[in-house]
Amino acid sequence: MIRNNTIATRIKLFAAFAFFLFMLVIARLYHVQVTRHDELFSRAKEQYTAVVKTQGKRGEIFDYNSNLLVGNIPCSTIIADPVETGDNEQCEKAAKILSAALGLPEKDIFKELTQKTRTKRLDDGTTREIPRRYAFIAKEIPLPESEKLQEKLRDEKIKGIYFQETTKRYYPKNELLANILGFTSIDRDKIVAVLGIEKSFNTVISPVKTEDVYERARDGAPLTLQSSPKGKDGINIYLTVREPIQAIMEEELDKFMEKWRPRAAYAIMAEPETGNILAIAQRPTFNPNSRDSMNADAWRSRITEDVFEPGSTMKPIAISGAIDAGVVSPNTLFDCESGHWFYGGKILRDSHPLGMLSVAGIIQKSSNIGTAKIALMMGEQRLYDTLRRFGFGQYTGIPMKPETRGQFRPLKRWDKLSITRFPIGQGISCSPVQLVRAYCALANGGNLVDLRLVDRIEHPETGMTMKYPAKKPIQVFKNPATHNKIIGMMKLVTREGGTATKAAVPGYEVAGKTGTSQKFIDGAYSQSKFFASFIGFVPADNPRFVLLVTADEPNDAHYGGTVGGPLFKAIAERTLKYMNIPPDNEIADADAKKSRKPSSNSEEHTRTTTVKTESRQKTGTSATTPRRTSSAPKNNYDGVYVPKKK
Amino acid sequence: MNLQAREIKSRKQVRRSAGRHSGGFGLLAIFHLLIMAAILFFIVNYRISLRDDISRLGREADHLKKELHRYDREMEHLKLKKENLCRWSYIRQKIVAYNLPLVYPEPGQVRVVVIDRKSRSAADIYNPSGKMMVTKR
Repeated sequence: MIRNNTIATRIKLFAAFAFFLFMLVIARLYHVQVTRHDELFSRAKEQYTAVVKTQGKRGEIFDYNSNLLVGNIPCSTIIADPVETGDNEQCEKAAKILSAALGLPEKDIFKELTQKTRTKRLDDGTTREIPRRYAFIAKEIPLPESEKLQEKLRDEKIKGIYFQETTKRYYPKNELLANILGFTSIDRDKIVAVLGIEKSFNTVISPVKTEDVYERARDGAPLTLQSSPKGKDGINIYLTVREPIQAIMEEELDKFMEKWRPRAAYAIMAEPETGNILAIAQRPTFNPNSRDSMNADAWRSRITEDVFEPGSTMKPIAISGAIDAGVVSPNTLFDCESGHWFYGGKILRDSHPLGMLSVAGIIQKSSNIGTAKIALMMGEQRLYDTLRRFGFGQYTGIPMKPETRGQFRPLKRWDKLSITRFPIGQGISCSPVQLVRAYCALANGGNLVDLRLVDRIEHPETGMTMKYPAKKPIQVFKNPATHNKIIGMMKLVTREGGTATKAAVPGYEVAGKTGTSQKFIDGAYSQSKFFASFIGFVPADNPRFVLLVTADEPNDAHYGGTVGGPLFKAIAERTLKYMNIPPDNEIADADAKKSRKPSSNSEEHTRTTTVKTESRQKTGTSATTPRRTSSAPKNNYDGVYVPKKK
Repeated sequence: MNLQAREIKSRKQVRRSAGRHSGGFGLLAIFHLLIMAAILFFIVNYRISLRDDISRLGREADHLKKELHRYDREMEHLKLKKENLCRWSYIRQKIVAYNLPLVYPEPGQVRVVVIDRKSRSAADIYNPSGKMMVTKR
């Protein structure tokens, strides 16, 4: 019996001990699972999860026909882990290879690779040596070079050198459209848009960063099946600019710079009906791919930021207001006072002494006095309204920041001379784009459109495109006949006797106007520094483009017709050929053939038409039949030059 | 006479019969268990092999993705290089260097090649050689 009792006691003791152990395990489990749950869970999660941060690429910029203007070129950043690079012998070997490939001093690379520790300052103020795991070697290494280098390092069994994939903003066309496209810079890891389209559309073309968390195995491979994380790419932008026309413009502008050596020059070409800018260029400019040669003075977009006095290019605009209001007709005669006219206590001069001229002649000969007299007949209010309607003092709609509105005083701040000076482009200043916009209205039947530089935007993933919105045009003429009248007068400028015969394009009728304005320096008009401009559209009766060319302080000559005319002709002639626009006389011939009736004397009729065409060409006039509405009057406004009565 | 109607079985006989019955049941149970185990074994193995396949394919996909990414970068590089070589200033430079007697075309001389996908079938009827259609703009 005693023996049995001992066994029972032992069993009880063992059971109690087992129960105690079990309770200990329970307590421990409670501690681990409940009390320290959050801490341990986060520690475990840290070990088996990985975060991948990815960033898409910045949106690309194309021309109208999808020619790439700005892209992202793949390149690499080379870094090293000095702990992994090995002993001095290995480091020396690595430094030699890297130095040969990258053109960097071998000594510097060797120093970077052999510096295995760094000093870390702790919170308590003490310092401690810790392993150095990051050393920067080089950035923006082009893809082919980095691939070759990677292969070589692999062959030589060099460890601890890493290639981080990056991209660099790249402008494949170099200087082409540089001032409009702008450029970006890097501030630490951030891309900063400095100017141009890059800056204006920065929020749209910037990529979106994404973070992806996944569970990983010990080797780092993802445990869960998932699509690889990808940052969202920025929106692509398509400009209205045509690269071939832009290339023509820039090539001719370069030749022009060589010939006249101006301080600056610019040219803008726009479609009058839509306001689409086909080409836009300025000199001096820069190559956005080569920052070393960049001159800050060349960065500025003079076309949108700078203002200039338009000079005589303002005359057709002011006179169109007078014709539209019925104040004058193209044949109304004015006395141009032999080139000197005293008004408002000041003398107004013409470049050449002129006598009695019709309104058409005033435009053809570019008479300041005649234009001032027309403006006086119009009155201040009408002149102000006209210039305002043509968009002076307003933004043009071009999506470039900053953009100037020019200087156009409100009517209440006009003085006695304003009415005689503003219509000749003095005392009023505008940006080149404002002037182009106003001429687009003249060329387009008086429809003032906003200028467009961005045609459409494209979602890079879906490929869906969205047209950049255009505002409804505003009609500036009340009388529909005004358009034909003013174009008829502007055609005379490039004909024999006009101020810009050098701007005439053989085979095409050009309507335009020269402009020579003195620069306003230190409160006075300079006698030696000028803006020389020519602006016009071609073919005059069915304009395909409006083109402005301006030279800031040209050397050797300063008249708009002499300096700007040939440049206008060169750009316009090549562009018309590129656009495949048949000459006006070909259209006239085709029209004549169409209207010819099948009759027995058809051969005779053809012969007569040909003779007429030839005779017109000989006299310097075109055989083109202007396309006008039947209600519009015939525009036969040859400049009437009448010597001043004695 | 005391007669008993029921059949008298000996104890031994009863035990033997019960034992025979329970042995068959056991075997059947073991057989079922074995089948179950085999199915389970097969399922587990199949699952393991599937997981293995998945991870192998995952690794392959990962490798292909990396290759694809590398090709993408290479293509991007080539695209930009091509655009750089297409710029007019470069072409002009080459025209001068090779002294090519090129002139600008007159309007009317320029013809544009249009490949109209919509009317491809119609084009094939009239153009069975499959050459591109040339139309004047």
